[in-house]
Amino acid sequence: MRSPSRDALVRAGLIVAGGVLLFVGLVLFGGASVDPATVGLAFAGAMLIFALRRLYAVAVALGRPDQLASAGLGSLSKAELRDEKRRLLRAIKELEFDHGMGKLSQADFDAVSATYKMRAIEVMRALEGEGALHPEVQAIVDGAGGAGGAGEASGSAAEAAEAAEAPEAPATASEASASAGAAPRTCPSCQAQNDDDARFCKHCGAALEAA
Amino acid sequence: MTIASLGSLTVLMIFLMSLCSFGLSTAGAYRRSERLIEGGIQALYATFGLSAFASSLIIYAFLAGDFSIQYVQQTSDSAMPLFYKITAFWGGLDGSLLFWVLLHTLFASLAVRANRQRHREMIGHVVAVLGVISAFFAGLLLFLKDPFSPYLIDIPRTGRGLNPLLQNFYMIFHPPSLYLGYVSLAVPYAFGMGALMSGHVDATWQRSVRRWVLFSWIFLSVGLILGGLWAYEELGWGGYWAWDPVENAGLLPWFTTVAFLHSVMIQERRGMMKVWNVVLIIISFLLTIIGTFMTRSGVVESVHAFGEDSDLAWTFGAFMLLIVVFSFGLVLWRRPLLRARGELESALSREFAFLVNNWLFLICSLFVLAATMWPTFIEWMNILVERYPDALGWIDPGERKTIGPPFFNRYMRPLGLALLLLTGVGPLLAWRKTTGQNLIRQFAGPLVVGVGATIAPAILGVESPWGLACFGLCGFTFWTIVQEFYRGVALRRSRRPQGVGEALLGLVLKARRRYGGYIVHLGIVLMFFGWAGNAYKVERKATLQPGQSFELGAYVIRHDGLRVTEDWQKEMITADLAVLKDGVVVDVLHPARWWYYQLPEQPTTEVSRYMSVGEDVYTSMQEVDLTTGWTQLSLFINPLVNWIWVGMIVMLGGALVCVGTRKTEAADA
Repeated sequence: MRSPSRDALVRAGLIVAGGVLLFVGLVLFGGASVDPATVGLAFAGAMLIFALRRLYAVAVALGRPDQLASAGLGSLSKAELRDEKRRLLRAIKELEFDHGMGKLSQADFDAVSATYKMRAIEVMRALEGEGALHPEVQAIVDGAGGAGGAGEASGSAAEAAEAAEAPEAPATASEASASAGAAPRTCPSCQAQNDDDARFCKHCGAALEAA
Repeated sequence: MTIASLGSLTVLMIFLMSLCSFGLSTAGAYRRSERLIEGGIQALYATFGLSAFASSLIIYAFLAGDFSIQYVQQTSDSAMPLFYKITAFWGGLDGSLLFWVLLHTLFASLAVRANRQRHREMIGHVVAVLGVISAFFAGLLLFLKDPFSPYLIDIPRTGRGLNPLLQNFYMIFHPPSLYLGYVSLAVPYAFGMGALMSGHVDATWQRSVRRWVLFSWIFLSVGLILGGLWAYEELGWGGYWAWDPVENAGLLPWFTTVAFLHSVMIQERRGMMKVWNVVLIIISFLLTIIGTFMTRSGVVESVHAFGEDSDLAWTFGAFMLLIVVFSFGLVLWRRPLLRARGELESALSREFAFLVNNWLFLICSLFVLAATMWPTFIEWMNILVERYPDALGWIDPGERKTIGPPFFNRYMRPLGLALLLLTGVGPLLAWRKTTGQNLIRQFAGPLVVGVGATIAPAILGVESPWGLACFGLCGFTFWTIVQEFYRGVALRRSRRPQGVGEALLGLVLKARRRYGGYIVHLGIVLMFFGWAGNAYKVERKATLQPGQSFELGAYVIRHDGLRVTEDWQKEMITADLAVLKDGVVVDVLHPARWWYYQLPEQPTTEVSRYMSVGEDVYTSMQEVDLTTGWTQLSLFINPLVNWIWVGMIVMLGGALVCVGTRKTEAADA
């Protein structure tokens, strides 16, 4: 989508430049007299061409074969999830900041940030295309300890995460490019791979040490 | 084909293409046809192309002096400077409507182009709403106010010229800036309606729209302040804001957009107040239409309304009714989707502060609207009583009265101060809940400074309780902002050793919205500081002959003589006034009165002022008698007034920091 519009921009730029050159040429060598009205008329002419082109574009658009407009429910819910994730991460960040500034009592901070983090983990897992609950969350829900089982499960979750991460890579490429070259970071407690600028593991929520 | 008929034809085309764009995109949205939606979008772009062509045609007509077009003849003459010829485009009613259409279609095209991929599901509806709005304004041009309508007989040779009052630097930017603010609010409205129609009412549309609202808000602010500066420099009554209906018209959407910019944060964070946010967007848009209606139709009396026109009034009335029924109908229909996720947990939370802020802004807006419309309302009642004597029974509406600045000031002053207090308190509260201990830690510093800022001016001799309250609150709020920055910087430095400058920059760039917002608040505080100066304003009228002196506060004004000059446009009488402080001449002021040859019965007042950090000495000439030399002068000392303009610049800076969130958001979008 981007490159055709850029081409159009370049072409429009060339046309304008050509027009200006022609105009300057006429003034310098053709002895044409220039008053504001002439410039106004030339500008109006250019606008006329622009308007006609846009009208033509309507005809072109209507002349194309039709296809069903896809709202793309799947991709939409994905977008919503991504949105939710961003919102939660931002909320957590801000919460920490507020806590650091002394606006939030320790008890409040612990309670609120725990709910946010749990929710963020859920959202991230849903984003990676797994309907099931995170093993650790599942363990809590079941009321069982099951640390070993959780470890195994999160190991497999990490593999799945890597696979699911791939199609998303272009979207986050611009973010990552800032610190390109750094290795992806491994979580010390569950061994999952995280973005290199991550400060918390997206699987178990444990804090990652600064690189 | 004359320019006039080509122009009228283009206006007709704009109207038809707007209808096309509405029809195609509506059909496309309901039949889920990519082709029809694309056609609607292209038709919207085409309306922009056509409006650009129509505008360039009328500018050409101005430049070429085509006086066969009525509008050109009435608002320009061939002797005007080139720049004013171009700005005469929006100097009158018809042209300003065309300018409106141009801006609207431009913004609509830009917004659709930027968001069509991200909001595929609702773009058809959005284009339809935008199409209806542009069809309405194009219809006004076509049927009621064609800027291209020609003189059919007796084509005049010369133009009548632009009102000299409008030939002023600020007037070049003030109307377009307000228009930009007004018109760009149609975009958030269209997206809001699109979201309701398509049922995608989560916060995504608001994030796309937030920047537009911020943008509108910036332009509204600039427009309002420039209008104030214009009044201050050009009208010569010593003030900058007189609660004129047209000024109020700009202020109304300003209030509601501020409210929206705050409450949208709650929805983003807590999923609450969805209905409220949609309603705020609707009201903001409605208020821009009401504002245009008040300015353009002459239903309210004002210094710069464009004169009475009942056709226009009825058309606008019908359009507003349509907007109200349509938008609120949609909200009611979608109410189940708009239910809140979270709940207010404590009155000592930032959410609650935001909520109170919203109420106050809405009250301000409704109060100003009611007080502005009241005289008109009384007049309508009178007309009703005249036509149908029994309709209202015993109620006698009374005479049409104008509601003056004292009335507004009386009620707006406490509201404004309450908002200033919230500006200080809000950021100190945490989300969800603030505990008592935190309260003390947060509020101790600001309270001390606030009390100090109240006592200091009291000792220096300020007596007005409002003035003292304003100074105190300014001090309080100022210190909260300083404290936020100081603690933020300290926190960053404790996490990673770095310089103060680096930490400050990092802080602002990391949370642009938050710290940009604080900078905006700082600007607001400076403006309130400027307003507080009104508490000890000095206002005198003096009639002096050359050689006489007059004592004005700490200054002495000495009349040094009169000069009469003229140029090709006007005749000018200028007085030379020496301003003395402690016996030393600090400045010589030149207030003047100008008689334009084209409008000799309306002389303009040229203000001259001596500016300093603490105050302005402001002089304007009211009457002058050349034979005896008697000069009637209005003299003012306006304390702190320049801080208002400084505050505006700070506010704009902060707003630009907020707008700059694009990069980080685009990266992960």
